[in-house]
Amino acid sequence: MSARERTEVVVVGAGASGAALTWRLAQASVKVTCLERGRWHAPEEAPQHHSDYEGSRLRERAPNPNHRGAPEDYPVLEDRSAIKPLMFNGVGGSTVLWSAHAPRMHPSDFRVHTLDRVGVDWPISYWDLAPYYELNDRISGMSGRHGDPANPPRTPRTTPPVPLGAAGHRVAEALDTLGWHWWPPDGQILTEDVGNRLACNGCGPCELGCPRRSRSSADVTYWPGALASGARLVTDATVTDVLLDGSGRATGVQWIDESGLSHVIDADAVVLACNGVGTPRLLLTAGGDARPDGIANSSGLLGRNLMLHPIAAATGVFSEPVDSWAGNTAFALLTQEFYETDRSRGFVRGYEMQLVRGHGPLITALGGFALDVPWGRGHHERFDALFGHVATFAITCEDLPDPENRVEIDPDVTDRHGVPAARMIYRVDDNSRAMIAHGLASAERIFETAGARKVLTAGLVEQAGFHLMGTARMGSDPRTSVVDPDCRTHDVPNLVIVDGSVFATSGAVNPTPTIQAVALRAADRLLADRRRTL
Amino acid sequence: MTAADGDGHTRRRLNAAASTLLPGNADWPDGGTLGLADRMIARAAGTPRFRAALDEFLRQPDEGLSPEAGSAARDEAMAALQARDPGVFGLLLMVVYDAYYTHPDVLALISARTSTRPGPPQPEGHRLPLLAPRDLTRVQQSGVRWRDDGEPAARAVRDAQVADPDRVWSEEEIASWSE
Repeated sequence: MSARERTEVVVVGAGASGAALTWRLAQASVKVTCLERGRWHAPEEAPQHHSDYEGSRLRERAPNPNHRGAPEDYPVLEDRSAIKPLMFNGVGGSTVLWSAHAPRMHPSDFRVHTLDRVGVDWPISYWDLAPYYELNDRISGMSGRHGDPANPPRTPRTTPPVPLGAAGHRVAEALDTLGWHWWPPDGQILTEDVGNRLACNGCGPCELGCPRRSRSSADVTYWPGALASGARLVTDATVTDVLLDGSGRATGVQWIDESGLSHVIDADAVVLACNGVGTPRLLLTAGGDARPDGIANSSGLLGRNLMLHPIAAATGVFSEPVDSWAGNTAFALLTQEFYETDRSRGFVRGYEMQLVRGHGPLITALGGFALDVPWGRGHHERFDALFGHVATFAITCEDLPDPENRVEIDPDVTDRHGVPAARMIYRVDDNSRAMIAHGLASAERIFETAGARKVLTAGLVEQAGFHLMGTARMGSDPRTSVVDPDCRTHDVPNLVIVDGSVFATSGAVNPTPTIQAVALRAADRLLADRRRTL
Repeated sequence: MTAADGDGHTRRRLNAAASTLLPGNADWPDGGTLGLADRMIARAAGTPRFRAALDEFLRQPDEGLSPEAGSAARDEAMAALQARDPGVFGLLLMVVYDAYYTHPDVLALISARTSTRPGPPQPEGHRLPLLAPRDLTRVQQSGVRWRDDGEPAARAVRDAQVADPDRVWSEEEIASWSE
């Protein structure tokens, strides 16, 4: 039994990009329907009101879908990937389990080949995206401070920056002593009350959700406005196929509801916003046996050039308490001292370093970031020395595109609806390894200058694959890219991709603001098309 | 024997594991004396990977890991499990630590030893002082450092930023960069 209906635009995925695009289209009175395989997770469901809040990170709010194993999750085979997948399925997508660090890519990130003869250039520039970064900042709400000399100018931020904290003050002074760059980073965390969203009160684990709505997950920012403007959102809706007509245009999608009932929704345009693994998985399996290479894959690049941002961690241990558990976890300050290319360092492109605070007792005991906490005898003494005494630099490296790093389909493993699983195949290249070594040495120097008594390092953080990029690359040439500069697939012009898949290169910053800016721009291009055809 | 059985022997095995992993000292309670088994079983019940790991642990031969074994023998047996099956061991560690470090007695102890509160982080949160603008003076005076990408807007924007690093820009001005 199946049901059929019609809309103007159908969007697959209600995360950061799907929410932003749907909001923009709905504001322009487009009839838009979004299908989301997960459900709503009300901010009030976040566990910080419970004493065992930390345990949820190991269970129902584990960022790795293979650990979480919720019914709406699909398996992502990770045995051939040096970095494991992290994502969330639900309204708001991975921003539900998000630390909300929100730096922008630099102008040079869009011209990597021209400037450094590696990777490829984007077909759009920073300057094309700048108005959309601003729009996204305004709708999402952004804490921070304008005037960072490492980035082009921007408008004053919605609220002041998150507090530096005790360790942040020490590290800032150390960076001043070294003469290195630092800045209070942009963060999608409000530090003052705005509307029905309360100011962050520094409770700590943003990555578990935010019961005060201070943190700007897409369910809190874009969805209320989208729904108020007439957008329709269907949850527990798993899309299993993209449908084409005889001329090769998309006619809609097929989806399955929670009860197993199959539906078809017809649309003038289909937009995919399923992240850098989910989108290639859907397109590579679309069309079934009749299309062994999937849809929109004439370039052969669908699923290729997977970029994940190798991340290393260095933790400074201080003799005095620095109250590591207090304040938003993931960013107290940011240094982009080594962001732009300087080939004398032994690598091309660069990395950013964000100062992460610490964790609560449980995650500290389990090793947190780069900690060495033994079990058995000595455990409690080590815990005493570390808990509340640490801060960590997370070193995020630009990840150059490599077609051998990819998402493939494994027909032997399927999700609950019988759709084949994705497998991530990914190795860290020598350029990234050189960056990691340089970044760890830089972090050690900063922490030693800041008075840390010891620095602990982790070369590559395995559970760090939140930034899923590059698997449906944007470009002007259909032979070397999957989507055009407006995010339309070259092969199927009314099939649009707006998630991190379209990144031509990765930059060295958290991608969410760029993903949302790209999605807002793609929405405007769709609206321009619509005006032309009216 | 599985975690779902929850019988006396299962509980003693799990408490012995907690005692081995978290033996306590003059300041901290032994994991076994806190009776963590019920908390471990409850956590495993809702999480398939934890349940499978506990079941696998309980299937291990009693020798060495049993409550009756001495602490040295249990240390040795646990180290052998860690070497033989790091996946199961890692998950067992998570379940034991989850039960211990969220136990009210342990949270109260941590609060007494540090400046944390014994309860959950909400609703009080933690108040930290905001950044003072003067803290940024040195960085801002160090000069514009983003790389010119050769696009038409870059030079003009850069020159304006050099002239006034703290200038307040409007959305309309920024939108004009792409025109």
